[in-house]
Amino acid sequence: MKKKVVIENLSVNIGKKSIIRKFNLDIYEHEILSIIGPANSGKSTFLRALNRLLDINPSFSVKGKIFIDGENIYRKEIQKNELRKRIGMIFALPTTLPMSVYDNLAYGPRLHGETARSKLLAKARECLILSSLWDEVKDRLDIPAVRLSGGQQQRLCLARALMVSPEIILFDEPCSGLDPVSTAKVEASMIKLKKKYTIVLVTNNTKQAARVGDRVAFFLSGDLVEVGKTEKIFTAPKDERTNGYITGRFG
Amino acid sequence: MNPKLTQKIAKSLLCGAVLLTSVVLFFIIFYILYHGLSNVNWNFLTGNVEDLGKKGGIYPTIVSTIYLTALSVFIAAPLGIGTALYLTCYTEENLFTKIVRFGTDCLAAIPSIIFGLFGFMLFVIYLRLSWSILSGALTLASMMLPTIIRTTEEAIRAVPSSYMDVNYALGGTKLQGIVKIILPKALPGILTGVILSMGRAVSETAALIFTAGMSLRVPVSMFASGRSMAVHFYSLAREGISLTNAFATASVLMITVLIINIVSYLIMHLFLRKYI
Repeated sequence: MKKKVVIENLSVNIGKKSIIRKFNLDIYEHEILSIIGPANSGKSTFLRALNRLLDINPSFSVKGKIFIDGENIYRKEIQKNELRKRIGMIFALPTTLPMSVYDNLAYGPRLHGETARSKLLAKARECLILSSLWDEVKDRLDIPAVRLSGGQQQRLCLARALMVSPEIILFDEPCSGLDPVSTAKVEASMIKLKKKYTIVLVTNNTKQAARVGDRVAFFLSGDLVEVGKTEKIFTAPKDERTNGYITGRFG
Repeated sequence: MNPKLTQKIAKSLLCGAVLLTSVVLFFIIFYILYHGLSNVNWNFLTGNVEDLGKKGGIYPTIVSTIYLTALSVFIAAPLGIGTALYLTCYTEENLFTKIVRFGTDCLAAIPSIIFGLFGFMLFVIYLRLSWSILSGALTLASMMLPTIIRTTEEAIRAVPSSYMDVNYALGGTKLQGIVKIILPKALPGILTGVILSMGRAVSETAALIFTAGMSLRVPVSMFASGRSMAVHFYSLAREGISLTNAFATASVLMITVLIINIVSYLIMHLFLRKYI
């Protein structure tokens, strides 16, 4: 399988405090890599390092290299906006923008200069179908996005991320605020999306990782403890700490 | 004490406060309109001031008021909103921002007559703008700035930072996020600040006597002197020229403020519906 992302000696600090300690990791094309671990183990920080969203807060300092398709995204000349366009991100809570469903979807493409309504509508339809939301909103594209239910909003966020045609999608605990039915829908979308995209899923729910992940990486207090095939991690983990976490002894 | 009884006492005390407030407010409004409205007619609104205000209308003072208010909002709103944007979106919290914030808070508490004196020294004398609409508007603008900056800051801070994360994650720049999400979302709050400060400008007297002068003619340009309705009212009442005309002027002033408020809330409501 082709390597989509190669992480080399990545470490993240806030001042002198170490958030993530040096590690290496490869992410393959068209896989779902789930990242599990207790709170404060650096999962979300790692995710935000992947699309350079950590840069918003100048107190983070990132060392090491991340290659996407062989290109180091931490070199100086990188265009962060172009980079982030290639990497979609779904946040823990549904973060619909305060505008209509349609305007939410059109937001990304408009940032990059696409304004033709007919093109945007066609793309919106395609992305809403991918995120399993089309049937529920096709007649209501002009209502404010906040009127949708939590689960629908999260799928709208997914569709919105897809609108700018990313190659990689980062999910940051996307189901933490959702009921089981909505969670199932989001998970179904993820599996559908795998064919076209590369997915990194941070989750607090080890069962979710077991359900959708091809591989699992286990983080603990800033260290990447173990990474491997999902079945392997859940049946025969190499590290005692991984075993402890997935069997619920801590975390 | 019995909790039900406590509830009842609290409720009646609060209700009493509301009643007392409304009685005072409505009494003032009713009193002024009762004494003033009967003298307000078309000639009063469109006629020139005659005999220092004893006779004739108040047309020039209406024009001056509109000029002064519009010009001062035009100066203060972009400056204030820009300052607030910089303080909230473009700097980290540091000594500089703390000093600016402390400064604006102090300015907000300074009585308007001090602003008048300052405007007189700086704009009228030093910058040689003399008594003019421009001097008055610049002075009013300096008075409005603290309110606009503070309310805009609060309004921007109230916009969840997750919106900016979304903007960045989709490849947007900081400026795009500010223009497309933060400002529209904060607009009702910002407008509230601008309207509040506009109310202050419309009803300002002390600062304007020193800076815009007392001319009774219709100002022909920004550099002409002009007397606002509030100043005219002050002069009519203070110098005992005509109490009936003073009340009539006050009625017009009050109705103007009312119209400004209603219109701005309507605009805000339209915007809110669009932006939830």
